[in-house]
Amino acid sequence: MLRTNLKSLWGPLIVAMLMSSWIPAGAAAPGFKAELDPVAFTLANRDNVAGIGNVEGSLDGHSLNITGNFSGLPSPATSAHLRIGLAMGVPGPVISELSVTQSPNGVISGKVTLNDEQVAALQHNALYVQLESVKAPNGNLWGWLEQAH
Amino acid sequence: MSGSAKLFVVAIVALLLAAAGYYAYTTHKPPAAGIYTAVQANAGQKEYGVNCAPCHGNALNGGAGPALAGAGFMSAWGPKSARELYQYVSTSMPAGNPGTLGQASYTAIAAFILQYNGASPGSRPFNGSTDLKIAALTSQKGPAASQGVDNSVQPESSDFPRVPVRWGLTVAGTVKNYVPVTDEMLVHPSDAEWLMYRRNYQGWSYSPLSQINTHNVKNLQLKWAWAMNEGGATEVTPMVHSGVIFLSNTSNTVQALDARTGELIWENRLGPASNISYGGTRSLGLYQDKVFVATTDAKLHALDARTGNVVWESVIDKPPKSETGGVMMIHGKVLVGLTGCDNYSTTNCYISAFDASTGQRDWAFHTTALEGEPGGDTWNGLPNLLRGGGDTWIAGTYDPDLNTTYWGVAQTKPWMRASRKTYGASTLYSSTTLALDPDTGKLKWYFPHAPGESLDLDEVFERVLIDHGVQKTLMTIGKPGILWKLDRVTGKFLDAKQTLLQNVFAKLDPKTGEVTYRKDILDQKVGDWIASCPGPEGGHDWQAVSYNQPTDLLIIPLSQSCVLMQGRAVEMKVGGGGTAASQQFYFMPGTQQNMGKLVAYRTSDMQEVWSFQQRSPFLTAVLSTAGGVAFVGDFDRHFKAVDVKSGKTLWQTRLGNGAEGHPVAFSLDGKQYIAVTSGLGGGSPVQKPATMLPEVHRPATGQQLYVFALPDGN
Repeated sequence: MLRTNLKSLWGPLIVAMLMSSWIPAGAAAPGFKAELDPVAFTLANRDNVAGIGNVEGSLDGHSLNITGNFSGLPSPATSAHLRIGLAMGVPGPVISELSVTQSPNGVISGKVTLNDEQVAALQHNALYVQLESVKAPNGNLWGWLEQAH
Repeated sequence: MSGSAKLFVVAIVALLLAAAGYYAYTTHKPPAAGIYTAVQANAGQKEYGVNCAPCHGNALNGGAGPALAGAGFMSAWGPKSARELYQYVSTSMPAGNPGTLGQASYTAIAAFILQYNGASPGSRPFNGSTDLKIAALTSQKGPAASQGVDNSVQPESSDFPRVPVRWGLTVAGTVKNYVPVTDEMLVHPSDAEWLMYRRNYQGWSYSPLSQINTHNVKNLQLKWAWAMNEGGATEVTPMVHSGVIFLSNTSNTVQALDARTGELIWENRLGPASNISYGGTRSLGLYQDKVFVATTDAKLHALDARTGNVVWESVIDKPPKSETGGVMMIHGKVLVGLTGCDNYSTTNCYISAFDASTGQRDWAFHTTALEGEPGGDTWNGLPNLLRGGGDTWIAGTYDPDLNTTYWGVAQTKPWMRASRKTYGASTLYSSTTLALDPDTGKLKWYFPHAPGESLDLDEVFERVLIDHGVQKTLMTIGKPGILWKLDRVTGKFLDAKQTLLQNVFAKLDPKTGEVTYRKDILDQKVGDWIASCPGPEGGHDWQAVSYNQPTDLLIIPLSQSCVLMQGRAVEMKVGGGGTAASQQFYFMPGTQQNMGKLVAYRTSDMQEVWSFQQRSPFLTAVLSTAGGVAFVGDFDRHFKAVDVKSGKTLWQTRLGNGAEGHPVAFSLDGKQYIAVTSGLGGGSPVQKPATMLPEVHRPATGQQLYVFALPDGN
């Protein structure tokens, strides 16, 4: 029954998400921010996913510009990506690669062109930045973008 | 020899042959190939000696903690896998500092325990992931067998704090001037006393005392302290009546203490010894001349309140069923829930009522609806045996005018719907509010908060009864962090408020309260990793809210952590099931890695009035008073007083260990006291911060009762 309910909601939900992502021409680029925290861990890998960071994003039409920094990684960063999940706090697949300093401390940057669905997901805090490192190749830090207030 | 005699001899011979065959099978069957290395077990022996032996004994024969070798250990752990042993040890040990040793140490310790129980080493190191059952790994020829380890025998002495070695009435004494507790006293409790779990039937955790207020609380000082049993979890509520604190301890020990001085009057160590997960009951019951105690072996005891002697004892169920939430007293009945319903059993889970005078069971209400009964068709056709969970591990509340008692029911087990094969079924009465007639156990109404719950997100916690004019409401909050308001006459949904980030429900219908799960939760398969914010720490957990009546504020302790959860396949038979999921933890997005949050909501319009967050989560209930002060304690040993109207911290002190339990207020000779316990152990509310906050160091012992008051003459 719940499955049926969700299916019936999916169409209107996407329409609502798309409508809410429409931005009038000439409006200031909406700002987004995220804190970067350790990815999901257990005791076994806790020491490999330490660190902290911040990223900011500005959306101009469908173009998302991302800048940020990080520090305190237990090993050098190797890569960073913009990803999309089903909601804030839910991991998901890669949208695009970002540039990252190959060091335990450094900066992240990148410019990504989003499609309509991805813009809608951004408005609903479902896009996130994930950073990988030598000791944590499947993820060291992550952070979900939300509107800066 | 007659025909019947011949038949008897043949039967005896057959039995002997069968027994011999069984003996040969159990003693000579080859164990499974080694899953650890000898080097690893040697390292584990050293780690064990430093970190485990003080509680579990050098010969793994038990002490403050249970034995880790021998028949008792194998009975409990033989059917479980080596992975489960590793997961338990790595997330729960050492007591007080769980999760602090590192993976290499934990796998080595697990290897040593397996070796000691007769498992053979192999060529591959143990990494904590094998699903082989411990019984299949061990030959019963290890040191444990040669030393005859038997954990049914408590060691006689040790230089380390431990559970008691003597049981029964260990200290005899008499409470003088004891006044029997009447129904009228329970309906209208004295301002000076604390007679039940949340002080009043409505579950407010509010004291009308006002001597300690926002201006003078900074002068609070310790009056006396009392060291409690170590071992097990301390989440208890001190009960205060007739100048006496009736205190439940771990290992099912009850003490009567002079509330003025802390002097022990009597002590009854009912037993059995608690393990680390289960501890002292959260709620004793006081009625007439008796103290009622539900114990971790699923028994109910009535003690003479004056002397501590056992008056009667009744069996609620059999272990591994257990009771930790405690009891409530209504109309001469003892109402008691049940927990430990993780594994499939023939008796399922239920709330029951016993006659306070005789100990006879009056009624039982199954919290997992059975086949052929109302709600029984909500289990995807599973037989009664496979209807796990539905625990009631928090005592209920009661409306005397409506003669209705309200209980929260925990989630279905195993945790994940793919493991238990219930899929989209709502699995009543899990994750509901129940309204029951306390005289008959008859269901008046139920409200489903989370039908088919699937991520260990209990909705079991306190139901707080609040009136707004003529409107009689019930408010509750569970692990998802949604604050619910229901009409407690009809069960109709009135309102809901999200108190922190939750991503489990994609939608909550504002008219009906019906929730819609996120798509990947609905589509889950065994082995999928599913995200959950909040995770099993809550949101809100057993640390109860306080309703401050003068301000209409509900003050709520919250925790901010998330998990990825992976369900496993389970055996669909008696003893199968269980929780059956693995977890990875992460900080809740947007919280700056602050796990603790205290928030106040005005209940009339459900608006947030204030909140603050901090690094360590709160591990006590909130106590608020007519003095405008709210008391709460945290994982990092702080016990603090905040202004009810603003949340501003007015006073704080640091206890010997994490502030854990249910603070209470009472008054004697015109002086107001605040009592709080420090404690160890427990489930997710302790395990999560112990893993996620490595900079917080907590002692390995320190279960204690502290009593504070203003200086004389203040």
